[in-house]
Amino acid sequence: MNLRMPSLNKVLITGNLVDDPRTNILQSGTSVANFRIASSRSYRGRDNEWHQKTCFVDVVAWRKTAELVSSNLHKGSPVLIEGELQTSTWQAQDGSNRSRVEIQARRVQFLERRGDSGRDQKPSAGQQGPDYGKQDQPDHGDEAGGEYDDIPF
Amino acid sequence: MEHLPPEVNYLVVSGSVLTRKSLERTRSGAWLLELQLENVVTTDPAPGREPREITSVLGVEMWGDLARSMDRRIQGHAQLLVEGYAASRAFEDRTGVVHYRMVIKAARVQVLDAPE
Repeated sequence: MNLRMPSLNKVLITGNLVDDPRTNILQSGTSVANFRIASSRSYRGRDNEWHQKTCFVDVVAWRKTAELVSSNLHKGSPVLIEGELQTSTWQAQDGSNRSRVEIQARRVQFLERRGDSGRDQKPSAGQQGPDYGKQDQPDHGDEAGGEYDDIPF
Repeated sequence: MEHLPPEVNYLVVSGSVLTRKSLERTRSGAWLLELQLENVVTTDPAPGREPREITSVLGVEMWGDLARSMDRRIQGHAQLLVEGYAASRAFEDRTGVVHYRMVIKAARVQVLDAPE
């Protein structure tokens, strides 16, 4: 039997936002939120002691998910991200091409309990975001919003 | 009831080997095999649109016995299924700004090419 090669790309990761999410509304009216999470992992070293390693991962959310991220998350918020890895490319100021791997979030679960945020003011949509968000806009149709969105809390 | 924050960091990707470095031994004596995996996913089409292919190039690190074993088994542009977790590598640009590059630390690798 001649089988097709499976195409897999799935990520599940928890972490805390390093900064407030940066939200843009594109000319098409699509919302996009960019944020970075710090994800810690505990492991037992050769010395038999527990150690912790932290990795920093960039995340992009689109449409309704972006709006929910923007209005509910802030620096320090714990989240569970479900999505896929994708290479994002953009041109730097010196004209050179840059690329990096980020997570395209399909689903964002807010892990903070209601009232635990310790903030009165939530970030609002429409803040200035990074340049790469405007230059590289993957089109996922309706995948990034709608049924994949998580109702906060 | 208070809960401990869950530590979840799991990923699974498939793709073909784009480039690979030689098996090397780090200063701490650990075996390391680094490669780049080309992953292609097809998005579900939006109404009235064609599905789109998105290609990503992902850095993969294999360590220890896995690195040694895969060094022997991975030939050319082999098709792989990689399970592991995300890790970040820090580097400084010319202006001294620290950037983070994400890599996949492989925990389990399947070579999907049928043996000749």
